[in-house]
Order: sequence, then C-alpha cells, then structure tokens
Amino acid sequence: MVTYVCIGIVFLFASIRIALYYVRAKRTPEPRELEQTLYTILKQARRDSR
Amino acid sequence: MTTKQPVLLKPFERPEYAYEKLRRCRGCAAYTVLQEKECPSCHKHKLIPLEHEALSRAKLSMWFERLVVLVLGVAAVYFAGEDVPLLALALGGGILALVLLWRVQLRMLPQQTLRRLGQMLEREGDRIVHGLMEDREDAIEVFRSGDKPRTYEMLREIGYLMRTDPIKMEQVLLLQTFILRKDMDLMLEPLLMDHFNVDLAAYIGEIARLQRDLIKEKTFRYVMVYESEFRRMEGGEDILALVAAAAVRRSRYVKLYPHLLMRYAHRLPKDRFMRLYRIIAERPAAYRDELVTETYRVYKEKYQV
Ligand SMILES: [Zn+2]
Repeated sequence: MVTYVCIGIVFLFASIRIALYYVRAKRTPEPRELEQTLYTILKQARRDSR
Repeated sequence: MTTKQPVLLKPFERPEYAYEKLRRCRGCAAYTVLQEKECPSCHKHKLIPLEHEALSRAKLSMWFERLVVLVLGVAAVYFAGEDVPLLALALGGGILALVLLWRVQLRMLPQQTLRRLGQMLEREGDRIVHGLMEDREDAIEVFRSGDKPRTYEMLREIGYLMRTDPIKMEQVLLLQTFILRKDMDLMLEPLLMDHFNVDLAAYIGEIARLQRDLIKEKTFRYVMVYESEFRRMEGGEDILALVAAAAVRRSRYVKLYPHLLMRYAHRLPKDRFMRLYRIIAERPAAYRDELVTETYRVYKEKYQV
C-alpha cells in the first residue's frame, strides 16, 4: 500500500514539475529584455540618488 | 590647454548583453563590473559572472527535484518488500519518472537560467546599484593616485552599464588628457550626453579625424541638435567640417543629413568632396535639391579645370 502511495506521489510530483517547466518556458524573458531590466534598475537608482 | 599624455589603453570587451559585464561575489554577494580578480568588498577570489551564478542556481533546484523523486522511489521499492510484481512496478515507475523529469530539465536549462537571471536582477537590484557606486568610488581613488588611463578603463566599464552624464563627462575629460591614436579602442556613442558639452564636442572632432567609422546616426543627430553651440565654440566649425567629412562615407548619411553637408561642402578636403560629388552625380534626384546645387557650385568654383 505504501509503495502505491509513494509511486503515486513520485508521478504527481514529476508531472507537476514538468508542467511548471513548460508553463514557465513560455514566460522566460529574452536576453534583450533582461538587459533592459538592468538598464531600468540603474536608471531608477540614478533618479533616487539625486 | 593642458598637455596631453601618451597612454596605452586596454581594448574594451564588448559583451553581447550588458549584464554579462556584471560579476557577483560568492562570498559576500557584492556586485562589480571591474575586471579585478578579487572581490572589491571582501577581497576573496570568489567573483563569478552573473550568468554562471544563475546557471548554478537553476541546476541546484533541478538536483533538488531529482533528489525528491529518487528518495520517494527508493521508499517505494523499500516498502514493496518481497512482492516481486510490486517491486518491479516501484522500480520501473521510479526510474521512468526520474528519466522523464531529467530529460525535461536538460531541455529547459537555458530558459531556467534566464529566468533565474531575471529573478536575481529584480531581487538584487539595490545590491547591483550599490556595487556600481562602490566601483565608481574605487575609480575616483585610482584617479587620486594619478593613474588616469586606469581610471578611464574603470569608468568605461562602469559607464557601459550606468549611462549617466556625470560618468560620461568624466570619461570624456580623461580622454581629452590623452593623445588619441587611430589604433586605440575608442568609443563615441556611449559617451553622447543629454546636453551640449565642449569637451565632448572636441572629442567628437578627434574621433572624426581618427576613426570616422565611429561617427554614426546618434552622433550626427547630436551634432545637428547642437550645431549652433558647436559654431560658437573655438574650432567648432572645423569639428563640424570633420563630421561632415565623416558623413560622406555613406550615401545614406548624405541623404539623411543634407543640411550638414550643404553648409560644410566647401570646407571638405578634396578627396572627401570628390566622394560627395560622385555620390551625388550618380543619382542627383535622390538627394535634396539645395545640396545638389551647392555641391555642383563648389565643384565648379574649386575643382573644375
Ligand atoms: Zn566579496
């Protein structure tokens, strides 16, 4: 009985993680966007510090 | 005018993406863009590129997931006891789940790395800003010690990310104390400021003389916007003529900046003017009428035999 439960959890866990990977892959930022994020952070800092 | 000094500048490494310049300390989580070996804040040799940190974080969480599957799989096998079919099910199921997960993880590693990178930028923005400020303090320190080339190299790294006028101005001021050469790794567009600056104007003139390929749209636009300021400064007309000479290297620029060329056609060196003349003579209809007229006029006046 415990074996069934364990195997069940294994598959549930693995499939949730796999599904999450695919969902997140769609929302992965492009390198260009990340670069822009960085520039934005630094620009805001400049405004705050003055 | 101060005397200029001959200097040796290291070439600047241009990354594909700006964040590749950032490095993070594994010891104290400080950020830096300076290409030093040891961390500027804790002095340990633990600086690694931001992407490597993101990659190892992505890998770590994947290892954790695999560990969960493995532990549960082992438990399933353990509790199956002597029951052979159940044992086979537990073993087969566990291995199948592990292999499936592993394959997906391998395929998703690049995306996961980018995602982690994004998270780090968002969560550690303050640290990054702080790190760059510290880098700038270090640059000022080096300047006080008298090493101007090194100061410039440091500011160049900082300025590549932090595109603020003060940092641009400091770089231009330092560059103006150096004897610039054709073979130097110089830059121009990242130094263009939001306002007119005499030293920048002089620097544009030097670049137009030494490395005219660096003069592109943004610089032409800067020059056009502040043309009257250029004219008012000492030697400003010469700079404008040099910039006009740089524009002649492409027919596209001739088309885009007819006013600049019109006003300085008569001051272009002969080879530059003849190039302009040939570009226009080839397809006069493609260019502004006034520019065509002026070019022909200068040609007649100065070069027609
Ligand atoms: Zn450190």
